[in-house]
Amino acid sequence: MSASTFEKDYSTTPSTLDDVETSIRLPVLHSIFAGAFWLVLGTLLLLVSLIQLTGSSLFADCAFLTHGKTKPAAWIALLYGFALQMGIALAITIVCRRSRKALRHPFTVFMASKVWNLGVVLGIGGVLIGDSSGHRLFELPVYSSCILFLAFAVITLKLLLVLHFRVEREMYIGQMYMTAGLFWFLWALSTAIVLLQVDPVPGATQLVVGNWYVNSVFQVVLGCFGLGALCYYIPQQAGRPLYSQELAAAAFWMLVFIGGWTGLVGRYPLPVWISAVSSAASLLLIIPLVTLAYNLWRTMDRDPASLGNTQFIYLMCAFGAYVLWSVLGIVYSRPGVADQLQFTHFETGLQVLFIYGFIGMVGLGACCTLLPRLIGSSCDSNGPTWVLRAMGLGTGLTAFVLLLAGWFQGAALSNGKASFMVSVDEGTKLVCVAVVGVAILALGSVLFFFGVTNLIVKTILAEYPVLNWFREEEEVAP
Amino acid sequence: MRNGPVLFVFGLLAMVISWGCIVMGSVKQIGTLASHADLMTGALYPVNRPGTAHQGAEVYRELGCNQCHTRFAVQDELSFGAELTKLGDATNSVELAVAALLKVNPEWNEAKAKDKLNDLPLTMVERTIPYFADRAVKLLEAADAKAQMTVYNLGADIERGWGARQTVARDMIYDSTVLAGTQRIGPDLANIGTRAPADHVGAWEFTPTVTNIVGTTTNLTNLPEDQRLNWHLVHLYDPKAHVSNSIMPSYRFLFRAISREQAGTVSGALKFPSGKGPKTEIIVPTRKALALAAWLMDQRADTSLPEGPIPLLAPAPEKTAEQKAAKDEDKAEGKS
Ligand code: HEC
Repeated sequence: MSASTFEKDYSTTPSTLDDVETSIRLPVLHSIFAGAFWLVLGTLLLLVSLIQLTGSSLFADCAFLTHGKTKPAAWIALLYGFALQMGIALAITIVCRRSRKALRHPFTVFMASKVWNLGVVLGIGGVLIGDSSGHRLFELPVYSSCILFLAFAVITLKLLLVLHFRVEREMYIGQMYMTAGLFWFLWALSTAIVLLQVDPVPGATQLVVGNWYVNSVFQVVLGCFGLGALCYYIPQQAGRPLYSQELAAAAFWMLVFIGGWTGLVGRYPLPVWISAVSSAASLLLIIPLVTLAYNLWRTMDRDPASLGNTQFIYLMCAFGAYVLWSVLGIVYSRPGVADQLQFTHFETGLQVLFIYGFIGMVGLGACCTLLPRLIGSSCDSNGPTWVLRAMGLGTGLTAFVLLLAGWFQGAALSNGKASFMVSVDEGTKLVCVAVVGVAILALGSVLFFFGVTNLIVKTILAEYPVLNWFREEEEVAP
Repeated sequence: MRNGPVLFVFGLLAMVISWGCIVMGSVKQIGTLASHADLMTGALYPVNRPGTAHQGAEVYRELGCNQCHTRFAVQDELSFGAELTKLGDATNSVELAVAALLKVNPEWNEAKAKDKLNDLPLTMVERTIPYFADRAVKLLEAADAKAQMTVYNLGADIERGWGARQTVARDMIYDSTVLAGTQRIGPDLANIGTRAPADHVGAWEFTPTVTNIVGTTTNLTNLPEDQRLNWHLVHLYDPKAHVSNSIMPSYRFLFRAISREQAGTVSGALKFPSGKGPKTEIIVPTRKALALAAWLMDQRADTSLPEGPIPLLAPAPEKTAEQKAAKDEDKAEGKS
């Protein structure tokens, strides 16, 4: 980074796009690379855990790889290693680009991102050796969650500085989503660490805290990262501005105000008002969903020719997955529905739809243009298409089959006269199909990982020393 | 939307409101729950778990049993019914009862009502709100007959014998980590310590010294403790030994295998059902396995609480009869 960039950083003088991209290259590439790695590992662990659910005795003799450990380990890899890390990469990119400011001290952010990955390693390792905290999707042991918090706090702080000195005072919707995601995650994670690990609240209150945390991470944090990216990349793709900034802002505010309330739909050993409030809030989510969907739909280039464009298809898939996920969530919250679907594979199906279908597709779609730009060499154009096919097929199959399995399993579970094993058999039949789906996902993620690695290695070889990547080409402003 | 600080304040507000209401609201409401003292006996419930069982909870957390098992029974809203148990002594008691029955169930005709009276107790109304059940009882009592209200349909969990009542927040106040679980790949374990041998997925026989099985709660005090322990240990070692198509993983690594020749002095070996278990070795549980089994046997939420009363009446008798028949059939099938 040149000396002049440093001087400009504490003012609102715009950085050139080249400066911006040079500054974010290291942390963003690192996050994408590490995210791809965790995607592969998480998918393989998910595969193992699903195979174990078919009654196979895979790893039955291995205390580290019993189902009760492979399943949480898989979701830690997918949630903290892949999804949130992709979110970080997208947040860095969009905040810096939109603010037209170079990231100051990118090396610090890079190190923070390293530390984040250390946290994920400790989290997965901790679960495998039996240090799980026992809270759903927050099985991280305390030594891992604190590290994650530190790393995330540093990244948030650095991005906040960029935002503070943004060139155009008007906040774009992409920036708002990203900022909300960053803050909300810090808040949620610190709440979970303090109230579940450091000084645990007594008894069933832990259920409330745990569910509030998980819901915040999915509905609000990852929701914001993903939607922010959609609001940034879809207009870019379509070559026209967002249909309506006002609608976008309205949807944003409704999402953040309602999103935190929806986590406790269903039956829990808790006072009934909690689940009543959650269901009501879930229903209200229709409003931001419709607003957002309409806005993005109007923005989209629906020219059939653009269907040949891989990035466009990625974004469409992500958009579709998000809408479907939200609609299913709303349906789930209706009286009686959760009674049948709670406790089943339906939950896993929703998670697959969200992480692979929404965040995965947004992240991978962003990579289509982001990677070549950051690296300065275009990628093999067939690569993304094959990754897209595998991920699309895998996600669709796995999510569909698990949701369906949940339905049948739930029907059997709610019939008290039927033997419990009926529900097990109903579930297992379809889980066997889901195993195929996850195998396809694994294939896709391995392809993606090799694609990313290949690009990075090529660049390193071409442009040694690594930390001094300057590129000559002219950039087109977004 | 240019003003960063204003945006920030709004964002913060969004976060704080949901956090404050949901998280802090429930911390205030159920974070201070204490044990309940029984009005009559003064006995406290729940009480803190004893040592080994507490270690068992740690093993349960460590191995992630909560990925497949929930630990809270749920219950549907109560619904009510009315049952005619006995006619009056008067000579015209049948006519009176028929007249009352026609008021209770206007869609019946006289012949049908008379016919039904041959088979007492008679379920007059099923699964309804208290008002109709109560009305039926009063009408019949006015006709000099004996009738009573029944409570039923407590949902699949109660019907399966997974508990006498739903689990409530107070049941969990002594859990250092609430391992409630979210999926039921396996059965709910909130009351596994009270489960009657016949209510297990892999129903089992014990040396029968007990006959007093009341409704869904079983008085397990006379049930041989070592048999229950052995059932759990064998199940952990190899779930398929009890349920041939079980998908629960085997926890063999919690046990030690000792060859039969060297086993002379070892006590506490598992007793497998005939034809199951290793042939050349005996299997001895480690401390972890014992703690886990002790903890499982300690899981019981069967004390009536103000917020979680145990419904006093069992489901309508015909249902239980049906269930029993079904169970007998199952058993017969299992044996053949
Ligand atoms: C893969 C999911 C899975 C995991 C993990 C699992 N179980 Fe199970 N469990 C089942 C299934 C399925 C059944 C029903 C079939 C059977 O009895 O084996 C069951 C049954 C049980 C039963 C008998 C319940 C009854 O009513 O008969 C107990 C007790 C039990 N499990 C305890 C445990 C413990 C303790 C652990 C952790 C060490 C554990 N389970 C881990 C799936 C699982």
